[in-house]
Amino acid sequence: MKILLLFHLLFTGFSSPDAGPDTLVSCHFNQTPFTEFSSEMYHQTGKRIYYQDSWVQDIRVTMDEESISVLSAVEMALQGSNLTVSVWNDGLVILPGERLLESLPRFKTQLVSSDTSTGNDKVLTQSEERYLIGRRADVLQTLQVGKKGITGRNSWVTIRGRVTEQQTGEAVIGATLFLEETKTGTATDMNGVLTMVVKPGTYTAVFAYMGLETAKYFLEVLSEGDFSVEMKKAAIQMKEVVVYGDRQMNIRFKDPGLEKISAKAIKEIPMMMGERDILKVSEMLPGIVSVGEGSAGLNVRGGNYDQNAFYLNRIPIYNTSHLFGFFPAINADIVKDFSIYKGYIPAMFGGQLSSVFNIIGRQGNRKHFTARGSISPIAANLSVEGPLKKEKGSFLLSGRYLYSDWVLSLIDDPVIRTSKAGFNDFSATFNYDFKKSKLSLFIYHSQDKFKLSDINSYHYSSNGASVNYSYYFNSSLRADFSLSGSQYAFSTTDQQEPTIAYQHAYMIGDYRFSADFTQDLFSKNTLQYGAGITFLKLDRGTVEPYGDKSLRLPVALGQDQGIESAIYLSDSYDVLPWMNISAGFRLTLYNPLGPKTVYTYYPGAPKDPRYIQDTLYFNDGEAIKWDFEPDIRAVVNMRTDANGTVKVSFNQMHQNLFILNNTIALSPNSQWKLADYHIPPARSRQISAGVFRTFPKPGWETSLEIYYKRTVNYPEFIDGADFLGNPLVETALLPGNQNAYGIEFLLRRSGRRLEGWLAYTFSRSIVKVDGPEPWDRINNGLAYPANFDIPHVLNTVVNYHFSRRVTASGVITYQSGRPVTYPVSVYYINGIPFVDYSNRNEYRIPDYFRLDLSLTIEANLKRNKFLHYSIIFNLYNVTGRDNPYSVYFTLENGKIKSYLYSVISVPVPMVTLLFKLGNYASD
Amino acid sequence: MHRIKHLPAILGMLLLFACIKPYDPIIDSNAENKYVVSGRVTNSEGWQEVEVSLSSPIQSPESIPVSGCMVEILDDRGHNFPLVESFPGHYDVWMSQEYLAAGIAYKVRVLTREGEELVSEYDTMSTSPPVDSVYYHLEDIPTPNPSVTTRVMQFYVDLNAVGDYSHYYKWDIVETWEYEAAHPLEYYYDGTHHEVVPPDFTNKVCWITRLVPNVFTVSTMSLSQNVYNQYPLQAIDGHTSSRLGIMYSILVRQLALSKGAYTYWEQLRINSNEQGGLYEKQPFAIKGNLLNTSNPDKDVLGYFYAAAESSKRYFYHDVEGIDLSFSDQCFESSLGRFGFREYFPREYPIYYYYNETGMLRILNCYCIDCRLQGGTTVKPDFWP
Repeated sequence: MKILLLFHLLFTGFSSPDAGPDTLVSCHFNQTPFTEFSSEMYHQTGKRIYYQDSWVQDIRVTMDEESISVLSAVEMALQGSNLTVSVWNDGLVILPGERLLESLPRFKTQLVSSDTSTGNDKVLTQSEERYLIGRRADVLQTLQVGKKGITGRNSWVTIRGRVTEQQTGEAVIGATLFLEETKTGTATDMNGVLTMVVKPGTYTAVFAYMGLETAKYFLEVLSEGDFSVEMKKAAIQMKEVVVYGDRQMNIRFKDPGLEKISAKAIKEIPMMMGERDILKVSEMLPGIVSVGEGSAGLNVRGGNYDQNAFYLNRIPIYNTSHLFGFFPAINADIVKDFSIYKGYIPAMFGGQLSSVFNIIGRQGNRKHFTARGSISPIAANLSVEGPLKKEKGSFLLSGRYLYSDWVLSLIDDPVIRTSKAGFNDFSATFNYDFKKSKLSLFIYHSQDKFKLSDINSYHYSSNGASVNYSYYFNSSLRADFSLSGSQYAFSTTDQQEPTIAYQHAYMIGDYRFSADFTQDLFSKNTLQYGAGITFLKLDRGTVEPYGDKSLRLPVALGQDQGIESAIYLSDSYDVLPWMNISAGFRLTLYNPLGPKTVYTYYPGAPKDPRYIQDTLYFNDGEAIKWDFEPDIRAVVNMRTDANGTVKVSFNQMHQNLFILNNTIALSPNSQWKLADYHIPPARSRQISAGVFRTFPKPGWETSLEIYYKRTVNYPEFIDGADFLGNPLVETALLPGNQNAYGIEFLLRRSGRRLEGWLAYTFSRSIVKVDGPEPWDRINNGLAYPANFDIPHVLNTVVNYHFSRRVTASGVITYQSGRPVTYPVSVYYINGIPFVDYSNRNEYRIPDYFRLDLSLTIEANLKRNKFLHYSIIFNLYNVTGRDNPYSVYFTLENGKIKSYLYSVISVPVPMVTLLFKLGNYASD
Repeated sequence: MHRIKHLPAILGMLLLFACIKPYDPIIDSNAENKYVVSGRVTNSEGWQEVEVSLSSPIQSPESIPVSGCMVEILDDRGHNFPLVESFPGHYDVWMSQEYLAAGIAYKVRVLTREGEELVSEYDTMSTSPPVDSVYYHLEDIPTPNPSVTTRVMQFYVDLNAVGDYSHYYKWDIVETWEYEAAHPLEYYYDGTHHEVVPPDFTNKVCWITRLVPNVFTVSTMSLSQNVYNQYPLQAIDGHTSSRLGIMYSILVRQLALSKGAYTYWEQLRINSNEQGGLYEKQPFAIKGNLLNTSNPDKDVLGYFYAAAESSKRYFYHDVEGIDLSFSDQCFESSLGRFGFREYFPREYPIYYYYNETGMLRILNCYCIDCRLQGGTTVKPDFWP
């Protein structure tokens, strides 16, 4: 109820938007005195214009505009005079000469560069410059773009800028440029390049990015051209625990359900193993949950754990964790930008139904060589980076290693003492900027080994490589070409019982090529289009006997091949100054391919080997089916006033690749399976609406989103399904429907001594499998909660900065217990009790609650030093609560006993040392 | 049977963080009592039994027998065999060998007193090879304390069904052991002192016979031969019971099943034993092969099946390597300062004896009556 009230308040806040300086007015004046013009403006907008009568007595206004912003109207009226208009509080102030600044500009030390401008007619000596800059503390630097006299004042030109970090020379991805006069903005792409279509003129340009100092310039646009901007790391560290964007970004960003996480936030949040884990941090955000420790999977907005697509520099990552979810597979040190799409998903992404986790790695320092890393008692990592050619290219190598076996060898249990657990991963990135293009190469390798004495062993690995090439045809057209290949493979050996001992190896290969074009049509319209092709090859392997004593018959689980070809077109259009519409269409053609032997079953009979009707043979490369998958994606983004936006989106997705897993948690030996002759692609539709507001009090912001998502043809597993002994997957699956809905609320305070956020999510996910025949139903055709249906989730993250060097953080997590099937009655056969279970997921295990603490201590903050280090103390599950993972029932000595199983039931301490060459920096 | 099934539990144990503790969930169930029909026809001449009962709520588990039913076994050759209720909920009939052969299918029909008809599907008798061999290994298994292990006798069975035999088996293990009370009945006090001459040994030696309450099922369908080596059966130790004190015997009843019956028992086994881990399958309600024809929406639990049986008995005593330290629940104490006057008449009789040094020692009732531990003083026929 309170949530609804809040929603109402947020909405009513917008219903009468403040008349901002860009409120539209209609102006029809002919030789009107300025005083009259000004009172007419006040009449139309309620906006006062402050001036001295003596300044304007000569001005006569002639104007014929149907729809013009009040600010522009005043500017136009003042044209030719030496007066300027500035926005001040709720009104406009007219002053002779200089513009009134909204905030004090910061002192710039670097010289303003302008790549192609030839208007460098007034060359100053350095001392002259310094003198002038020093004298004019409240005057902004000017960035000049283009050449004088080429373009008329009223024609549109495209300008292109490159934003880099001053310290490392690396491109800044997702930095925003905002022109105060036109109230338009844009953001840099993955190469740190932005483009914008403007009329020639002088603008106040604000460049912003989390963790960097906001930079403000006068942008003097003369004609088409390029410019570059360097942004500094923010000197005051308090600013940087920001989850997505900064204040401005939060208001202006166009996609509902897009979350961004900064590296700094990742570092300070307490972590169980002391490893900075970006996916665990994402679970602190609304709408993203995990079923518990020891599970690698994430559930986004009521979707299963296989409905998320993870990309690391455009390589799809099929296994996102090491050692059963206890460690992240992606080294936080190499992450530059981490965005989660869960509402509106841009048309360039296809694939999974629920979300896209798009991770872009750092490029490496382009100015000098440096290194960083971390050490804990069980794991270490190191990364080295530096320029390939100064300012033009760089490399970054990173590696990690787990050496926890010494812990195991201390334990006095023969099974554990002879067990081994380990992982390592490695990545390398190289990139180079040519004159009109950029090339980057990325390689990724990760592997895990786990051996439980002589009982069983697991080995799994991911390998991937991508080549990304961006070409800038001209300042308004850019193309990105990407070629990637990735493989995920695992092998399992089980020799617990010699007669049925087996080994099994599985492999999935994913090979992609895509071409994406971004074109600025005119100032308010950006077109994106492209095409992509993905080839998937799955070898589900053979379950083979292991050892001399095994009598197991080999079972070949079969192979799958499929090809996804997609084209898309999307357009982002600023329909009105306060309204942006982005709409896209994506068409995917999915073909499962031969070679394949397919059994067909008698219509009206269960899919079971007993009812095989016919056998179909498909040749190598022959299309088994043609599935056309049209997706429509749209979002409307409306700015209601200076502090808030309302967003509404519609999103359609298709999914052709699923995990075969009927267990609660995602296990590393889960097999992926392609949609095929019998298993249709799943599709979903989502409607979401959100309200985003910043509060007038600095540092506070909030968002509230609601969504409804319906998924059809999502494969559900029949009771007791077995995927290891059964190559005919269709006999164990039924197409199900999922209904998911929820409300997500986020309140955040940032940029203060005490900061953090509170995220609350209410969500439900209900499954129904109700086919026409009794055997086509699960749970007798009744709807049941999905395994990961967790209605209430509350996450609180609090950071307190005692000083710039000492930060304490706390995390409180609360979740409703997940659904479980409980025994409801007991019956006896020959005196032995057995239990009869309830309907599927009718009950819930107890609620989950956890408190974690961490203390981060930075070494001294001297600007010039060789090595900077920080120590992080972590205490996970401070209260030692036995958080339930599962409740289960077992037969012991003829009695039924129930147990609660907790993966982590004690406080887990960990200390990690982070180090880097050079001084303290924000990431 | 799978000692280590819970991989993350192991991983958690590796890190010493995981915890498994008893827990009683509040299950507020208004599930109605369902009919349970279980029984089987075996291929050897004798009593064939069918049990009819009701399920009970999980909070108060009990077997609720259903009396007064009309029960009959039918075969697919047109014979029917009416069963007689021998004690509440238990129905049986003697079937002679001519009606019991491989290839014949049987079903059961139950008509309850309320007029509901419960009918099973037909289940076909298959063939079973003789029990191949049963043996044990001494093994050390982990205890909740990671630094302590327990030495157990882990029993195994080998299956050799090469030939025209079923691919699906279930083993029922009936265990019998002999144990003794500590003393014969010799002296007791019930207001006056009594001496039994000669001492009464009738309640000193007992035997317990029971079915090992685990489900042991196996299928050889996925194996290259109809053979299974070293299938683990029960494990027993020398601490928690008196099984290994004097002599221990097991009757291994090897039941060859049809695929349907095997699937049912295998699901029961998984639901009973392999739960709780992260990567375990979820439990689910298991359907048997009975239908309530009067009321098809009401589920009937249980399974009626035909099983070809072969069995073998084994005896074990003085097992080397097993420490015996079980309690016989006999505790003795000294007589108090005020002698027998300390005891109230409702505590009578007070048993006692004189130990080697001639001291009078008070005994509890377990010391002189072995039946109190659940056994019987009737020596089984097969006992040597």
